[in-house]
Amino acid sequence: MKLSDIVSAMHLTIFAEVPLLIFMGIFIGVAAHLLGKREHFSQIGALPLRDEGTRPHRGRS
Amino acid sequence: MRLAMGAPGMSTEVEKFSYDDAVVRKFAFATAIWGVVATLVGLWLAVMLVMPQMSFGLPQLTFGRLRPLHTNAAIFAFAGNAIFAAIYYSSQRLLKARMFSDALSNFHFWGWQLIIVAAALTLPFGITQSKEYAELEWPIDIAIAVVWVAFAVNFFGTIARRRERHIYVAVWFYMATIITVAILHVVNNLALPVSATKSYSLYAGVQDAFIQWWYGHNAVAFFLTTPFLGLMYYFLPKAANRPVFSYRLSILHFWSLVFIYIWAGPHHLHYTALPEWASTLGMLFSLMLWMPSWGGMINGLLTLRGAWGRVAEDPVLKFFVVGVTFYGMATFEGPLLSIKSVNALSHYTDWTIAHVHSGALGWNGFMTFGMLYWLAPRIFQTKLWSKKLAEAHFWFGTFGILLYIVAIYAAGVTQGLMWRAFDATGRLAYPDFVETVVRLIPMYWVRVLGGSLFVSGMVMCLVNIVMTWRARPAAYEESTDEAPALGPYVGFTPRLVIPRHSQMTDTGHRLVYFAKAQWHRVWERNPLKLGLWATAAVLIASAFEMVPTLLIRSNVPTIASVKPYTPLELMGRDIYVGEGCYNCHSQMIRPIRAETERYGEYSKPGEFIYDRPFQWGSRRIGPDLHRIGGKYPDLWHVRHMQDPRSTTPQSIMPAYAWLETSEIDFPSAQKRVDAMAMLGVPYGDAVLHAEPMARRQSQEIAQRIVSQGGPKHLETKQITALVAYLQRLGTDIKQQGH
Repeated sequence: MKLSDIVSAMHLTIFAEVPLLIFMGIFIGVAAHLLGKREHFSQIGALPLRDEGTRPHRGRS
Repeated sequence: MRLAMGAPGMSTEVEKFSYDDAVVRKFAFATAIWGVVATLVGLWLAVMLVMPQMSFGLPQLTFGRLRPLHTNAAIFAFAGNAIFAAIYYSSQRLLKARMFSDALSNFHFWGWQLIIVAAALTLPFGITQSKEYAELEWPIDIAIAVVWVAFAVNFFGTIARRRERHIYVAVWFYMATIITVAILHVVNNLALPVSATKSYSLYAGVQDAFIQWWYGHNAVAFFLTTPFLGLMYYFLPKAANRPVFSYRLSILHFWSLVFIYIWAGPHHLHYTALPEWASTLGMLFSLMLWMPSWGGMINGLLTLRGAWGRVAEDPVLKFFVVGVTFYGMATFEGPLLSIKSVNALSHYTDWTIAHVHSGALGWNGFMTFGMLYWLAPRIFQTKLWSKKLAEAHFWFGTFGILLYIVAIYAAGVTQGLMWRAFDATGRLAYPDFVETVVRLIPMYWVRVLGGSLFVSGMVMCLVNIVMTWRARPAAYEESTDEAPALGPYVGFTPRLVIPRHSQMTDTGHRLVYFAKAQWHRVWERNPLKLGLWATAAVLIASAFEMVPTLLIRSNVPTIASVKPYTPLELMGRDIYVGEGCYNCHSQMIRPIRAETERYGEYSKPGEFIYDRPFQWGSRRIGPDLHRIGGKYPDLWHVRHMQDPRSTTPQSIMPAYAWLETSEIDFPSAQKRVDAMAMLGVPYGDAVLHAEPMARRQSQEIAQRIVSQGGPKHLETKQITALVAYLQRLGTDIKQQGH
């Protein structure tokens, strides 16, 4: 039996339903992770503003 | 120097290090230069659509050959160099580390520029795979893969040597870009070489179309969206001097985009021979994209809270605000166009062109300009040469885009409505395709005006960058920073612990562990896990669509009367591919009454099983050609290619007079047929006698042309091979039942 025999015998709706379920799972998982921990994320969100180091500043517009 | 750092897992030794801004300067320069080139070629193409004689009879200047040069230059040269400048500048700062290898950075820069030059030297000469945004032939594809791997090693090496524990979300977007573009590029470009300048796709017909638009759509997603979002999440907070509005929303934005985008490709193939289930799935996931895209846009705009007063005075912020707004507009319109009933009207029309340009010029262009003007004083260590010129660039660019897209939206809707219009007697209101073309000419002129304004803005940007560079100090000071080295992580690490005597089941403990979602926190500081999960998201989504498309036999029912192309037709097809005819003509009649009335029987999946590459096209500047075979005598085609206006006075097609003087490469017939046979095409006798068979058919066609009153001695000329192919198109299905 070839792989194409197996896939051909499957009902096509499974190829839409399973990914939607996977997406829902991931979305809920990430959203749950993001609830709370406000302090943690606000610190990380400020990273670009803390990366200046000691750089030549002359003449910046 | 030793300091008590306090943070768990951080070394107490503070290290001093410098950033490599030289490579950022190079990429920034290349962005401005290629931006002028890409938009100038685009402007030239816009002019040719209203003045087709502007190709001057030169093969290298025809619309079909130059359009891929424009798209490749805009995407890979302009936007490509821009994202590399962004990545090299921001990653070093966010990761607190110099790039892993200066040699790899330079290899990446020069390798990429050589690839762009190679594209400019091959596409105008008809050396193309004809897959949109993947036109470059196999030797250049290999070069792209090599340079991309060097880039990836350099980038991930820098992550490995970072001094910042947490990986900021912009770097996640860059990681997703690097991983996914590599997968897309390799899978879509699998081909069997015939010579150094010619190859045949490993996929045929429907499968080739599916793989191409899986690639095409995700090239937009992972080359023109995710890296620019990384750019937005870094440079917009820098320019506004405010942290991103919601970091949590940016994480949701990342995962939703990475997971959803990869599914949406089939919406480019609605009502085609692609199976219904695949195009519906593509539409559903496209609609889901509304949510993260708008979440991202709102996150970008709200980052400016409290800084709106500065927008009026700061050209950088102006570019960013309009850029993010165009992101919102383009990502609203994209899902809208994926809805089947909207797509039935919009597909093949200029509506798609307007949509693409609102994204490319508005989102990619303006985000790039904002970044360049913000970077210029920092990387050249002097003041921006002219803030006024940057302001002028902003207004020229804004009005240029608006003129361009408004005119082309109008053109697209006009086209779509005219194609499907019926009169009171139930017949097509505009049966002659050229009627719909003539109606668009005034709108095409407005596009030329809008394009001229945008190109003028690009030139202003280049002048500003060059003049700022000229005012640089005699020697650049190195940008330095200091941070403690990253030691092994010793903080809290979540573990799944299942007590021996618990009231709860093992599954219950596992659910609690995952519900707390602590695993994500681990990924955020572990690039390997983050990268692996992002790769898994892309691969799983791709597999769900690809496996059934490639393996379910009922997807492509075979049609007994559909036979392989003869050797001469195959060579004619290769000429069709090389001239880029697919840039203006589709070969896909949708099962919509207006189309079957105009062109004939709708296209069936089984008709394309020998088409490598597929030639369905994505727009109709000229009519569909799938049922052109047998519609006109051979001589009509000869006259039409020599001077399109001799057969259709109002045609905007360029002349292809050289096809009557250029020789057919008969000796290559055998190699071409052998390659097709190797890919599984049942060629039978032609495997041994391709060249004599081609010569014989060519003689027959040349004699027919003479008997119809046409020129003599065409039996060895390319026009004969092209006529052979065109006369075969869509005719096999007519043999059914005979």
